[in-house]
Amino acid sequence: MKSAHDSLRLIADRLADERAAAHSIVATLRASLETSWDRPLPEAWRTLGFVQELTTAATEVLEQDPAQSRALAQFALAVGTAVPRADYPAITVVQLEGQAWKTLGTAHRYLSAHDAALRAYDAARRCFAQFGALADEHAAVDLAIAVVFSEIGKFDEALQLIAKAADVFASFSDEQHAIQGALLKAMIHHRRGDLRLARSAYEYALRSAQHRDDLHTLAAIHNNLGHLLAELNETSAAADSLARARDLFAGLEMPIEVSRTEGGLARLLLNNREYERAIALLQPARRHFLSLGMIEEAGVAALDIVDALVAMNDRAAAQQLTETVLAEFRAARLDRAIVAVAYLQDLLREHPAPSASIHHVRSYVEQLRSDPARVFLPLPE
Amino acid sequence: MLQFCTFIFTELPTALVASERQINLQRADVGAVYEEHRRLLVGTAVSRYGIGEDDAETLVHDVFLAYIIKADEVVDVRSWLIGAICNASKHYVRTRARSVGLPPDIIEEPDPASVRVVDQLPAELAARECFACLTPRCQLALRLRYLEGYSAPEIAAELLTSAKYAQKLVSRCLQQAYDRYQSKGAGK
Repeated sequence: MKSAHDSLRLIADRLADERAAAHSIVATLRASLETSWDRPLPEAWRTLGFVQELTTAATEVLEQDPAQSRALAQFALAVGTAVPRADYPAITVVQLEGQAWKTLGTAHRYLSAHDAALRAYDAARRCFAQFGALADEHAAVDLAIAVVFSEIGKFDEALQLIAKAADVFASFSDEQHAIQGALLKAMIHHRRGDLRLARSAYEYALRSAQHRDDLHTLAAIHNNLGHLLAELNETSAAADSLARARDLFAGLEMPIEVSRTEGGLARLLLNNREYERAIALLQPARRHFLSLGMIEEAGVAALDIVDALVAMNDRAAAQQLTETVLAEFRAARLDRAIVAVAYLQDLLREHPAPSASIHHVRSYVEQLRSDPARVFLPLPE
Repeated sequence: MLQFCTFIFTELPTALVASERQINLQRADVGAVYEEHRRLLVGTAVSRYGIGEDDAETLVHDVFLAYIIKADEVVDVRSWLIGAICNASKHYVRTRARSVGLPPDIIEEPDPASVRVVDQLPAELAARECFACLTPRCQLALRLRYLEGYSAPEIAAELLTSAKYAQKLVSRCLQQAYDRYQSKGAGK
């Protein structure tokens, strides 16, 4: 058995050496990727270790810059095509290519390109399906596909995939993915409006996550549970949950999520008629989103401020802010959102009680992020 | 009632953001983990799934190769390895169940896979060499078109361009492959 042991050590050492060699090159490549697409690939880059480093880099930048994540994952696949396959075990080739496809799919999903995401995930599935030993990787792709399905409203298909993947995660004792599956299931019940089921599913996910060192997942569960509790009018519990989420995201140095969670806390304050406090939270969040070019999210925060201003009888300031949002959406060419905000602008001039319409427009703009083709319909008179 | 629907879903494996640590684990762990668990895994494949010892060894080897890539993400190594060998064994058994026995006189027949080997093998080698000559942009474009079966509009969506340009890019990359392969041949 010495030879099998030795061959495993050899491949492990080889991949580790290739990754170590690729590490600094990939770090530099991040800044100059655009120019590398049309240059011949250096011989030394044509290794699986290089592919793995590129995929890792793509995962690292996903939260901050999904477009760069997509470019890095695509480059990983291009390099993977040039790697001499016979030099590596077949399972290692398909595992690393599958991971690159999965990362590409997730980058597309972050960019709301659902069809492209599903195509990439399907390619990942084909890679992992070749070897039974990669069943957990395959199940992780199924879970990622379930996320896309849940975002495009295919809830039953998503739940089926989650159930299928859960069995595999259990067989690997893979708690992290199992909790992510539980979180996604809770979100689907939540999106469907089945708040009772959603609550018990979030609480189950929370209990499972609390003993693990996965603060990111824990923060996401607290955030979503906070929103659910707010919908159930359990204001105090909702505020606690959202504050926990915000603190966890702050500790993880995830400023976008901190701003999003503060947006949730602000909406809670709005619901509680604490308008000035809500505006104090929303304004920095809006500025943060604008500084990152996240125009839709900045617009959603602005519409919450408009809501507060109208409630405070400051209609002039509400109209002025709506005009600013409209100008931002026009500059970003967000055509569908422009129609909705232009409608709101007209309404604010003449309607005596525009609150329901503000909520309607806000909700529409928020949903555009997951459903960009959605058509705006005004509320019936 | 206000709408509260800023959902957050997380699927970022913490291991993937710790590249250097991952490299070191990849290098150090596998030998010891193999020595510790090999017998258990082979035994599981043989006794629970009725797989022959040689095939079980091959499956275990695959499991450890998969583990090398995942090492830093795995929390409970033993449970993960058992899960992997069970799933690998089930896959093996399913695949074997679809096999049918061959008639005894098949020994006289040539292997169907090798019938066209004289034409196919040089073509495959040439295709691989062609790919190796290309720029990364062309490698990706041709891979999407010919290995993954993407249509021109699907390539366009992937590369954020128009379907017309995607079609043009594929043609240009085919030409690049032809030219570079030819000049490589002439260089020899």
